[in-house]
Amino acid sequence: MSAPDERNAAAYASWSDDDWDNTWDAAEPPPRSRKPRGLLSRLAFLVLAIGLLAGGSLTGLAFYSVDQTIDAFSGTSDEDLTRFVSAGEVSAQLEHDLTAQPAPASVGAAGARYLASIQENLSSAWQSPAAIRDMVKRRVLAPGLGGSEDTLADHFSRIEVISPTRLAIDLTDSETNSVVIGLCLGFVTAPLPLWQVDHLAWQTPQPHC
Amino acid sequence: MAMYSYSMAVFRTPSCARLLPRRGFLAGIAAGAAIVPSLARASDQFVSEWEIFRSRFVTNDGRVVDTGNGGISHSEGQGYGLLFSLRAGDRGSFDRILDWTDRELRSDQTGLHAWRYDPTLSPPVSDTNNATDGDLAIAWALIEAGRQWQWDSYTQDGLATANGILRSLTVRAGGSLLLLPGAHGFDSGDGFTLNPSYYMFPAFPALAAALPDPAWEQLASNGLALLSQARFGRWNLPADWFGIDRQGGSPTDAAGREMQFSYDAVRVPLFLAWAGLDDHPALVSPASFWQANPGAPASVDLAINELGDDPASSGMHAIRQVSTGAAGFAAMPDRLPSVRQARDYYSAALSMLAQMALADRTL
Repeated sequence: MSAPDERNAAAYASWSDDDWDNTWDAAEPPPRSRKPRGLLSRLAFLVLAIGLLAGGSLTGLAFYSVDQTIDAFSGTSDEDLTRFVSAGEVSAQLEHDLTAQPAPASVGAAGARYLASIQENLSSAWQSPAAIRDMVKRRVLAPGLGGSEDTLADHFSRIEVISPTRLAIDLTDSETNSVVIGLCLGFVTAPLPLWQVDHLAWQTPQPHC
Repeated sequence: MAMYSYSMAVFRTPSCARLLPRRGFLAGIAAGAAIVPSLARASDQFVSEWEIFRSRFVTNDGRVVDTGNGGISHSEGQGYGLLFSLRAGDRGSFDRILDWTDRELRSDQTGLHAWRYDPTLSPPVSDTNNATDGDLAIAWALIEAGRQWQWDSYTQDGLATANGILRSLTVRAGGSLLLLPGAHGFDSGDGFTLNPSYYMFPAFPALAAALPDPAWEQLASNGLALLSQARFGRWNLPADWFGIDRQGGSPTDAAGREMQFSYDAVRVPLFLAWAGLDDHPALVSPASFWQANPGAPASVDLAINELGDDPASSGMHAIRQVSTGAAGFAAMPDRLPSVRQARDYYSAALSMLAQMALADRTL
């Protein structure tokens, strides 16, 4: 991660794992771990990455190969995976946004003072992991702020922000509670976030409801 | 420049409003800093005005009635009702208005509110789309109420609405973050239709403090820049609606809508003056226009530079007085037209908003 400025870099560096209040189940691989990937994970990741880079044509195969409940994952398509890529872009945008921008000249002197007052009100957030996490999450879920038109929350039960530039997404269909695939992805900033995925793990499929 | 945070006012009842100190706010004004409004104070006069407004336009179950539009209600009116009752310290009315709003308009899924309620229809809410001005007012009122009355459910509901605004009502065009007038219907594919009066500038500092996200600052910054461009006609006035392409180019007329400065756009100079943005062109231009045309009507056709026929309401005159004072064309008024003089709900609401803006500027 490249922090936007020294202030944020210092703040991020001071955060511990506890700050992030990671609530993932103990049975699941910790999203921040850097264990060597198993053969299956490496193979699946390769298929996934190729599929994404090839316009998503192979991603369905990747899903199907690990779980036959793909049909329960209605609404999920190649587009959903494309959104994961955009998460890195969202984080990159957030890094940019967290860096105080000068007020446009067109807003005038009073406008500059007004904007400074808003920035002052925001400043405490830069030091808060919880606030950063909320911002990243909101942007991944927000059509206007860089996320998808159809919200990830409509499909997935848990999306955790591991750090300002890394997300972990549990691909459990929230409607059916069917785990199609448990996939923890750590994203880093654009342009090629998937090249730097830290961890990939398959989750045991659960029975249909 | 003196810097200060939003969270500085303390709750006070109307009767002791003048006795309690306003930490930070006065210091900020004295140092020439931007006005950062608070909803935490009320003069006896404002309380009296609120009581008139309540008796004329608020039903016993908390519905704010738009008497100028066939008795419908909308999220804008409910939001204004919450703001007014909060400022007046009238928690009973605040709760009644909030209960009705939650019951009839609110979406728990998005935190946003259906924009229109027509009691003559079945169901009364036939369109679940929202109106961003209403949601901004509701979010601001709830967050402030939660802080002043130390009531967490207000805060949580306000945060949910604020979150919904950022999630569903913002869009990037070129390098700018824009505020859509509603979640649906304002993206033509080629560009967007915007309403400049939905930029409620005095609310943004509070929302940014409560739900920290640089998007608020971007909305404000990009909105101020956009509104300085989006002025039309001979008098360079803001329009009720305008269009902008996906690349964020120059504002144009909005397809299918008349290019007018009227009932919507009259709030543009008000909100700018309320937030202390006295040198902004979208405040200075209307103020200059009104100074030269004190009897200006309720609408101006910006395409052909002609004045409309309907006289301006008392609420519009209240905004005119605050705007010309803020821009330095006239002295700030001591008093504004009373709600009692208003013909209908909207005129009364504008008058109440102008009174709040004037109070925030003079304290």
